[in-house]
Amino acid sequence: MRVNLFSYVLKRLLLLVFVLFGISIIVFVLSRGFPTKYPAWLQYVTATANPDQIETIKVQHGLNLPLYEQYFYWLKDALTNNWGISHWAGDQSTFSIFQTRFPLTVELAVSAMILAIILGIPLGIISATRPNKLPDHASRIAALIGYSLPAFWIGFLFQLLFSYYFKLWNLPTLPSSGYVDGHFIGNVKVISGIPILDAVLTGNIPYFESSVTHLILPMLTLSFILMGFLARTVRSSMVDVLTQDYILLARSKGLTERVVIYRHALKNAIIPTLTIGGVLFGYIVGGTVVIELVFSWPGVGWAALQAATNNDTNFLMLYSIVAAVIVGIVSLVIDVAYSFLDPRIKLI
Amino acid sequence: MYFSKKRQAISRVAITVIVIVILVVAAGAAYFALSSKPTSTSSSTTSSSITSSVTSSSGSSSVASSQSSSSVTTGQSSSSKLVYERASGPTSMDPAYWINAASREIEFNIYENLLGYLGNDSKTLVPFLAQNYTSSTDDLTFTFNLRQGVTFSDGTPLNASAVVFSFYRGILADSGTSTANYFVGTRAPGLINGTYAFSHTFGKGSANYTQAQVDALINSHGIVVGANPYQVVFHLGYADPLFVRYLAYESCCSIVSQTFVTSHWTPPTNGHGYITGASAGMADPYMSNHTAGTGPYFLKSWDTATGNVVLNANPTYWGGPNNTGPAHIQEVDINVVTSNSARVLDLQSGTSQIGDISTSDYFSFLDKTTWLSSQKIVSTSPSTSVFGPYPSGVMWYVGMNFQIRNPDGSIASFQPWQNKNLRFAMADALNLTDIVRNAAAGFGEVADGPLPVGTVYYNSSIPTYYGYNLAQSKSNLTAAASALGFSASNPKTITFIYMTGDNIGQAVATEISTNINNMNLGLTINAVAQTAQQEVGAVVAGTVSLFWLQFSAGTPAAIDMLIAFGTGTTNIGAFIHYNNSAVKSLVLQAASSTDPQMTTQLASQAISLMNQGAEYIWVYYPTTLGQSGQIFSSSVKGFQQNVAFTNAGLSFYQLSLG
Repeated sequence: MRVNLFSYVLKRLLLLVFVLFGISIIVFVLSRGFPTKYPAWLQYVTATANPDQIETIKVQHGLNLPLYEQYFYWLKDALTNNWGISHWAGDQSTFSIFQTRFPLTVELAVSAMILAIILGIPLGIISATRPNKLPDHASRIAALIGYSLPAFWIGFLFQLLFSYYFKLWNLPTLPSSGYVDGHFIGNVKVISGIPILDAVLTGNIPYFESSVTHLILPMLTLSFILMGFLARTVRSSMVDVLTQDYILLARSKGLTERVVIYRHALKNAIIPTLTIGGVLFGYIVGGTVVIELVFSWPGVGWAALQAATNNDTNFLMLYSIVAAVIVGIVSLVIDVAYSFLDPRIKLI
Repeated sequence: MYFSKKRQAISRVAITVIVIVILVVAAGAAYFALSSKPTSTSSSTTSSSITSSVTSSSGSSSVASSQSSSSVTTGQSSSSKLVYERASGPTSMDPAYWINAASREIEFNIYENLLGYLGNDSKTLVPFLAQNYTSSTDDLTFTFNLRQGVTFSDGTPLNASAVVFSFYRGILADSGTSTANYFVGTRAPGLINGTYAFSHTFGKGSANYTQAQVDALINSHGIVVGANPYQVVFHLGYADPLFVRYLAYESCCSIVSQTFVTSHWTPPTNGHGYITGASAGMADPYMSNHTAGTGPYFLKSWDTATGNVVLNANPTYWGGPNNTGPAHIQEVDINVVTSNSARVLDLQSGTSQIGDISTSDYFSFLDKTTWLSSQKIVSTSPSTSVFGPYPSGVMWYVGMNFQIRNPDGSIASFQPWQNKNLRFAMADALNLTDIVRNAAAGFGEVADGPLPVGTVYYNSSIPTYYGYNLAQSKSNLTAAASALGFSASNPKTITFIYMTGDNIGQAVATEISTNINNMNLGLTINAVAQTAQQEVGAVVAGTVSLFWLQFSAGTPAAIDMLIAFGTGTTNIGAFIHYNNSAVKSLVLQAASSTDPQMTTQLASQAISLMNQGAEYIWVYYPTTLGQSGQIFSSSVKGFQQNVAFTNAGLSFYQLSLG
């Protein structure tokens, strides 16, 4: 099994390299290869640029070369970790922008996912074990609200309540925007770039408190949406599993209901949830633009939006590659997890 | 029954787990909320360190100022701190460039010019860093005597050398958004001597920016130190009555510490020429996130991830032309809050004291019925103050491209906008009064030319020759159909571009397209929303056909707007291949006239000619609350709007908290 697992993971990682190569070509061609009103040089243009200046810009950035040459120069640079500059961000290094903002998205995504799992799975179990009863209805309504309401609306409601009305009612408030109080900027040691983790690693309690208070509202908003999906998935798969013959056999053997549910039923019911959860996690780590905009959370989603609206193909290439890596790795983890959960599933 | 009871037990366990989790989360939230300050925002600051930061290129996300003292007194009360929330943040602090409105607004409070404006007077030029100035009789030589005893935030004194350096720095940058934009001029030898031969962007200079070119620029003696270390002399290549106004323009010409810039500069390695401290044709990466000005504030910190900026009052500020001492407000936190709703809530709850409020949210603060019925501003809350409406110095218009290109650069076969009937058909299909009253909620005036209300040469009596009249529009469209060859059996499509999120642009595009399309004469107008970058790119590339865009007055004189629209040699006129020689002649005469009355007359004649051909459809001059869309907490005192600061932004120096 160990040998199989190792060779399977290795094979998948090698395949991932080819997938990344393919994605890079596709994204590169799409962003630079077609005659378009919005070419790659557009991000460097000012309103006063004339055709001569546009040509100069093209030469400066290699945009006058044949597409395949441009791609090979890009690939050479990418392999040496040179992803270019982003003009919309004041000509900062594209990689440094990503490096600064990605950890913030990770912090938001991971915390939201954990909370969604903690809430969503039990909610799904409640629903499944008490079908068509009040807890089931309540749980399903909560899940429906979670994935039906627009994210920006949920976020706005939280801001309205916790930042505005709480203030009017002279209650303690939560910050409506940002990721940390301003006076920490430049005055704390940055290790991972994830504020909560850095605060723990450096033992900086005030920084930890500030990071957590700023994280609460966006995390609640995002987890509320995710919880809806997870609860619904767990419920439907659990209901299906609980009607299986082996569950009846387990009960008839005298096993406690807790053992039946958590050791037998949940293991099989969780598989579709794992799939959904993995897809959702890959999606939110890629950047939840709406949440980041509502809460002015400077994550990679917000940056990607700025890059897209400013024709920054450098950032979009890096973003696409990283998103593909994340999805690939998450898929691999899920597939491996399948094999542990269900011995019938073989890794090939 | 047994299994049902067991399932209930499981559910109880699950419910218990959920309840415990919720209680833990709520308790944690309450604990942290209780431990946070009541005015908790993302920018509360008590830090005393101002030099402990790293640049964003190494992965961290903050920068700090160059204040020479090693610490700043802490313990300031909340009344000495102002929180200002904006929709977007700065991307550069280099005063040699105009990068975006957020950058310029911050630089406006850190740096100063030789000349400027005070209070709400946008017409009177006031000496700032210059004590006084004289000009030769031919207006080709200007001599400025600087104030003495003024220091930069790095402690070095203001002198003529720093002024000369600051101007050449901007000229050497030679970017479309740099100081060069204003001083290279339109013909040899340049507005400032020698600049035209040097500049590749605006003149005849080489893109290689050789050392020989740089040396030739310096040796042209366009800007030199005068008879003493506090005297600067400008030698112009030709007389321009707007020259001194350019010096006051807040989007350029700011004076920076030469010592500070030079000490952090390294010579270029790409073969470009340079003077000590400034490389030709290149930006200075250090100065994009460090500052050293003479202004009332200095940069305390800048989080490049969020865009949040903290400014601290400059304790050694010279006091301005009226010698009013350092700034009243010790700390200004400029926070980027992208959500309109969040900015409204924060202002209403008192979390922020100034908010950039979009027009669509104005009525969260003022009584809509009173405004729409009587154009009176009545604040709906005692905790906020609404100032305005004021002229914004902006003009919105519908533009038509007289030489449309295909994406591959070739000339498109269908060129509709050369046809005057078609232009009038569009103009007569738009109800300007309705747009201003309904789409703009009354915050504006119908436009009759490119020069906005409040600018020096604005003339309210210029006729437009078009007005909302669908019958007239159809008649013109029928004539255009015959001339251009489109019909129901040979239909043509035109795309009308406006910016995403611009509801007024959408209303204009929708109204014109609906009215024209309903005429069923074979011409279809598709209204399409695009990002600002896409639209500007399409205009610059010449692929746009019909578009909605704005122009801001560069100076209170706004002659630059007339030049942009009327000469066809620069900016918008060049992009759309505008070609009316009579208008061009009048505009150039107006631009070179030194008699304000003559300038007004010539400008009015030029605009009248443009209007006779409906060469542009001037739509409206928006008015604004605050300086450029700000609403204030009632605790903020001292605000005065100045249309001269349209491109500069809010001055915090004038404000106090009480």
